[in-house]
Amino acid sequence: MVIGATEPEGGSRGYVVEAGGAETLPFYTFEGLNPRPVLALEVYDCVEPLPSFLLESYRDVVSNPVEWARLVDRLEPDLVNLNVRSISPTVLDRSPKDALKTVEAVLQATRRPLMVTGIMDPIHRDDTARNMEFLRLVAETFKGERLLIGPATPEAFETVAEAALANGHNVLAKTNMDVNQAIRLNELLVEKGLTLERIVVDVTTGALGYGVEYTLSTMERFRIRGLKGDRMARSPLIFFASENLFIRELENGESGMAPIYEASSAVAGLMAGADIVSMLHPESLEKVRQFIDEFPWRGG
Amino acid sequence: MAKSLSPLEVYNLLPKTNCGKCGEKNCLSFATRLVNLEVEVERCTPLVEEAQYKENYVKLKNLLKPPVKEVLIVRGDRVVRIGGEYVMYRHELTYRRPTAIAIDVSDDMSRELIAERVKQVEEFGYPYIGKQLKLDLIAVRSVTGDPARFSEVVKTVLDNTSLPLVLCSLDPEVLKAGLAEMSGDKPLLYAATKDNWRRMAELALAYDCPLVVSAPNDPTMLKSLVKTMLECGLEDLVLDPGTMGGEGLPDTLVNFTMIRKAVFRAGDELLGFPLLGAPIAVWLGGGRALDKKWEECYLAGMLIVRYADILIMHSLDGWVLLPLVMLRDNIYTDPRKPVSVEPGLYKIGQPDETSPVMFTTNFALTYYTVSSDIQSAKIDSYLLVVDTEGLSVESAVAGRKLTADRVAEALKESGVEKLVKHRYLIIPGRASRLSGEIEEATGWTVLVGPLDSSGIPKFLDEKWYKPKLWEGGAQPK
Repeated sequence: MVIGATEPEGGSRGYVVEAGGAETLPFYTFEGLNPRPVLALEVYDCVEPLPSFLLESYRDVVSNPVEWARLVDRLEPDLVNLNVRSISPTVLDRSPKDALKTVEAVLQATRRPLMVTGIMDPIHRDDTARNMEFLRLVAETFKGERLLIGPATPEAFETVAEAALANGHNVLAKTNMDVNQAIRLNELLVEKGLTLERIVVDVTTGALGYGVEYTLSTMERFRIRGLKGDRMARSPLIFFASENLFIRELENGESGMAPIYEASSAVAGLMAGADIVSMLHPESLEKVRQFIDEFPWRGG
Repeated sequence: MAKSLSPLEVYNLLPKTNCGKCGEKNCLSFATRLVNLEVEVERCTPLVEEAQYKENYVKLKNLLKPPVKEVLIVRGDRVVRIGGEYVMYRHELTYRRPTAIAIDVSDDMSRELIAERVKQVEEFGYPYIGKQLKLDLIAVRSVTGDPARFSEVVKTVLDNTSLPLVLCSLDPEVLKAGLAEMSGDKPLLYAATKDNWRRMAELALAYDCPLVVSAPNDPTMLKSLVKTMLECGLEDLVLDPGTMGGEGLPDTLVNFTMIRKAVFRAGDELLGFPLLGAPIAVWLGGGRALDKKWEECYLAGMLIVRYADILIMHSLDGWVLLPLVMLRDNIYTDPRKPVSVEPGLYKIGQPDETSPVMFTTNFALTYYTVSSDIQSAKIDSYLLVVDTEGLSVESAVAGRKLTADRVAEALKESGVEKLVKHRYLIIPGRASRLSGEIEEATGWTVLVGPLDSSGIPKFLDEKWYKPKLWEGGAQPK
């Protein structure tokens, strides 16, 4: 999968990032080398009060996603993950059209490839419809940027798939922690005309102590099936290590616990086959990058 | 390996008398549970006790033997079991013996420091879904090379904890001095190498202790040492393929992975022993302590997911250890059953007819989180646990395992309507989209609770106690 498009390609990104393309099991360097995993750093267009340990890093930018994106840009992730949840009626009830302005401004604030996600955990009954409307608008307005947009879910995938297909974007396919569901959603997206290298599979990340084992096993099974020749299991996988930063254990935990929670879960996600790891804490981004740097990757 | 065994194959070796002494209805169902690793074969007492079945018992033990041998480290009545694994991936069956974590003390530390570290290890505990996440062992390391000093330190450790031990020195004389302090116990001895193997083998045999065979980054040597040790008559071996941090990470991972692959994919019996990882290795050489702790943590995490059965570590900080014990517990959870609690009505505190009625799902993590939040706020209440097949609220709503009809059914079966005089049901915030349907299905008035159960005390204060909702009594819709 290629995310982002440079000017000659019709976009405005400074470079493109490639994700996926694994040919052997993760870290089976004795059988062959896989491409280097992609590290994404997250920007939220609005957040519930951030835990204090994150405020240390993001205090000045929490209410300004554009400044936040500039800060994240300086931390040099491979990919910027802009999450737009203000469109939920239970959050800010911002109109999807209005929320486009944030995407536009963030695209100008960073030249890194961009991932744009809507409401990842729908609670309100209108959340899914809002997601669809928002993602369709994003796809149309930023045609040519080759974004990664989502979530597409088994309940609502058609609009995203059609909009991504028509405007040259990639799709994040999110299911429960179930390998068959993930494969089924891929089938549905492929029927809509998307190719597998334009789908990133998100089997839902559980934090440490909150179901991470289901995530890891689902990812392992998906990757094994893909390598064994199941065509519909050949998409790149994404792992949201940032889920670990919002657990209760960290609310009153020792300082330093938060980034290490995120980083150790990221390591476990990489071992299970993650091609993209999405993170939020600058320190864990740095540590996970160091970890990845110790290993050999295809193409250096 | 057990996962490819058929229950019939096992059944044929059982007495087939359906005597029921094992607690099962018949031998076939016992066979099924054996194949699923849910029971020990010794539960069939006739098989073990009666001479006529002796041959079958031996055959069955052999048939059910895990490809990775189980090794016991014993101190008094405390036993740490490592290995005993049947599969390479947890989804193929389940992992069985959680990676044991040993924290080191060395014989150049002061008596006070040793006592303090040992106490910290012993007291480390984190409550998690109804259990305590703990550390398992103390690794006593000789760095002075002095047998007298080692025996003194072992004694100090023994005086301060009842945890089982790993005794570490490459000098058999030093280990012997330590062993002399612990007669009858079976500490793990670290380690036999290509240079000391003969005397280490003698020592392990003489004291009947499990022994680590060490050949850092040299799998060929490791295998040849194992062969030699087996020929010496040793059975309880643990393998140390070498743990290296920094640029040694790829080799470390390759060695651990290739050994397990050889066992499970090529049936290599010589490598079918528990694996020892030593994240403590990152402390060799200079550098900032903070960086070492980070490195030790992710190295340990990497080895927990990639086959280590026992780890020797140095960091004792909660922030390093907590994510690791959590990861370990998660990875070793049986993937075949959702972690769930018994559905039904739970009383918290001393509820009466004016107490709030709340519901949650039977996913253990959800249940324990919610109930401990209510308990710690000392709220007398009824907590109805609805059977969602072990799913959390959010997943259960999405997957239609939590529906208005299920809630109505659970509410009716619980009999709570006879216990309270009101008809208000507090539902989880994440089930808010079901509120209308639940009102219709139950006839109760629904109050949508907070998204996170930590908000329950505040919620009840504002929405329940201040308005004294129950005073209206029954309010059928």
